[in-house]
Amino acid sequence: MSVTVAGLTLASPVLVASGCGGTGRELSAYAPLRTYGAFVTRSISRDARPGADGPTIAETPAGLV
Amino acid sequence: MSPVHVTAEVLASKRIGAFQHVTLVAPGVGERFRPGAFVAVSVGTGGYHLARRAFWIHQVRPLGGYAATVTLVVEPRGEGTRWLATRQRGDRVEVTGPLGGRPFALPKEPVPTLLVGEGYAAAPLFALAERLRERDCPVNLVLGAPDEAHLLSALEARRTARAVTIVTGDGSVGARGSISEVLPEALRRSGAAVVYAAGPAATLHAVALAAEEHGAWSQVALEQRTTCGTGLCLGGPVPVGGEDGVARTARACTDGPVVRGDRVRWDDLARGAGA
Repeated sequence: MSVTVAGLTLASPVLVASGCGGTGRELSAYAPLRTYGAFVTRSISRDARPGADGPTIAETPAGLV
Repeated sequence: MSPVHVTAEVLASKRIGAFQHVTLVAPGVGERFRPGAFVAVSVGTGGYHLARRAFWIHQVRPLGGYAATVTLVVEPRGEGTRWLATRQRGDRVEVTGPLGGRPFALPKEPVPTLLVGEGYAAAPLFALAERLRERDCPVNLVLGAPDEAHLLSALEARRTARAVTIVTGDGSVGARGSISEVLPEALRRSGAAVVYAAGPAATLHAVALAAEEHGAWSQVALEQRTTCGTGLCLGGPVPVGGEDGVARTARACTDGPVVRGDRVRWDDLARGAGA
């Protein structure tokens, strides 16, 4: 199932989107990490900065915002 | 605990007071559980409720020929909880669990303990009481609720505990008042070295303060608005502070749900802050 995108060869066309896979460790409980083509991290800054206040995810009839 | 994701089957569903006790056959979930663990359940049909709903594991026991059924205490409040509370025997429910990077930490030596639970959140305390008794730790219990209907299993509690204090807002059972009002006396009488608590944040905060004044450790089981319950979505931030005084943000489901009461930045949690 491997694919090549922009010169990068991935084991699978399925990537874990930013913010959807925790640190990766939590995901490994449900499927081997090698199943995924790649893991996309959240935005990371050089210097620590506070996260957003308040709820950042909300359920709506149209899906999760 | 290593969670599994299974299609569970409803074995039984019983209304007791304001709560629905839902018993599931969920292979692999009960066998691995420790008190303070929870499950994340998919609710609704048609895909309009993508957020999971989290429930404390109340009881794991053999039932109906199954070795380790899992019982949840559900208070029907919104669409998701009402959906789960109306499932019938034989219905399928998607369940992930046991979840929680940190369930209740048990003492290494036999010390007196105080368990404090409010409403349905008292659910994880009963299994905890059993484990504590196995370790020869005296168990004292404080149960609170607005009224009798929202008081969880008081009769079972009396069997396992050395002393039980019940307090209801309307005085229908036990003393009239709130948990924070009866805490100092319960701490004094029990001589507790550790206080375990589950309930709304305001009650957990009161427990953390009272425990500290009494010179006891506190282990509080936090509840968060759940999206995934597994640590994947980073949507359950808990403002905490370490011994180094540095403010950090923990994830309720992986760094908790049980945390030391003296580590939570309670004011930041109350105002909904992430960090």
